[in-house]
Amino acid sequence: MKSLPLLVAGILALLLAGCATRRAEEPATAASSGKSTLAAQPASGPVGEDDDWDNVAEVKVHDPVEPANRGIFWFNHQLYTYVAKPFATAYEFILPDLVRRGIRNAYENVRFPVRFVNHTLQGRLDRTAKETGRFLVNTTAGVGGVMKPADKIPALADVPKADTGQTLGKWGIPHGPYLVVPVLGPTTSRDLVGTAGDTALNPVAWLGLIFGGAGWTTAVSAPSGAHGLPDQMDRYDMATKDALDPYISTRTGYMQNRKAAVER
Amino acid sequence: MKRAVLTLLLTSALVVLSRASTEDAERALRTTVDQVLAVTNKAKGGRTMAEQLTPILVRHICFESMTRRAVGPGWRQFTPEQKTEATDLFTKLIIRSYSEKFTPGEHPEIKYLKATSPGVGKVEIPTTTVYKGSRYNVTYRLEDRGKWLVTDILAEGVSFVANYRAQFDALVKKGGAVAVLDSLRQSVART
Repeated sequence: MKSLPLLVAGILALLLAGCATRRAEEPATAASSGKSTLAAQPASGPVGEDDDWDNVAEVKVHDPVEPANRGIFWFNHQLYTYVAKPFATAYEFILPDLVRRGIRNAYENVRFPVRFVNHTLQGRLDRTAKETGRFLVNTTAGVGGVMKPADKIPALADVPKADTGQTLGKWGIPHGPYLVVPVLGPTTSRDLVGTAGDTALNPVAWLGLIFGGAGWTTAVSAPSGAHGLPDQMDRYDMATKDALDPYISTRTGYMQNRKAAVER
Repeated sequence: MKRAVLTLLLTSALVVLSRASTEDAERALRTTVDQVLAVTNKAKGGRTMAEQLTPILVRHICFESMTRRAVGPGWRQFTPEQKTEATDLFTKLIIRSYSEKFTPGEHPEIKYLKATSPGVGKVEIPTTTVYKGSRYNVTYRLEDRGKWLVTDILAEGVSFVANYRAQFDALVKKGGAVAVLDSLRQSVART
């Protein structure tokens, strides 16, 4: 029993020493610690930094058709720059912010079956129930989903989104090759199948089948449909504007985002 | 009995330390975010948002660590001068990129979720941020480096550092430190 306090003190000292060492390796001048955690790495320069780059998770991407993808990425970039962005700017100029948000909210509400079915297929019945609650509250108190009063109810506020590609991922189906699709942009073979599933579950697409007018329903229901275009363009700018290589930045961002969606 | 007491004591000590860490880190993050929002909520014309935010961000973000991790093992090929230049350029790029995400007049609502500590001196703080009518999951990674500093930001699962790491990897393979610096100079010069 005598050794107990000593042992505790020893372990606490070790823990505190960890913080102290970290402090000693203070950023801007971390030039002298001399330890490397990368024994397998060829020492192509003086090792002396806080070699903590293994903390950064590697983003794995299978991109067997990169040259073709880069070509389509270039095409999409021209399309976004000269067609989509001016359209998004005009859309934002013509419609007041409140109206735009109402349209976006209503569209999100209508896509309820996509989330309902996928939460259920993922075995997350708690989320299925919350999603149903959100739909009922937003449709009734939110005037057809134009407003989102469910956001003010803590139990219903934070329900993660669900889509078919995510469900396939949760079932253990791998991403497959990374692809860039004309107009729609980045995806993977798994998410491409997922997009088809989402379209099949989207009531706006059903209207197109029942009443015809595939053109307008596509314009509304596509991931970058008219109502969502300003947001899509904002995200595209975020991924590419300050990138060193916009193609890699978009690809890495997409893969990380989808991985997080599956793990959520 | 001895073992049980020891385990209990150690667990309690670790819980206390860990809780103290996450609380300190949360306090540091809230201070940073409050200071940033105090600027962005008032910002109008004049100096750019990036110029106004720089003094705050350099106090609370560990740019040297972000640069080093973004470059990865290729960092060892850099001379001290190249490291300084790369850090300066990357800092400018990050601050510009971060500042561009704010629209004057728009006020984000941030909800801090339960922080976790993945290791000694490391804390991850998830948040949900409602901005311009959309909800985003944003996680902040902080490390205890004498004081709690932000070392990465993940927006909707996309890590700032990992995203640049993928880009730097290709450049390091292509032309080492020179290629990295050339690319950084070009990106910073671009408006």
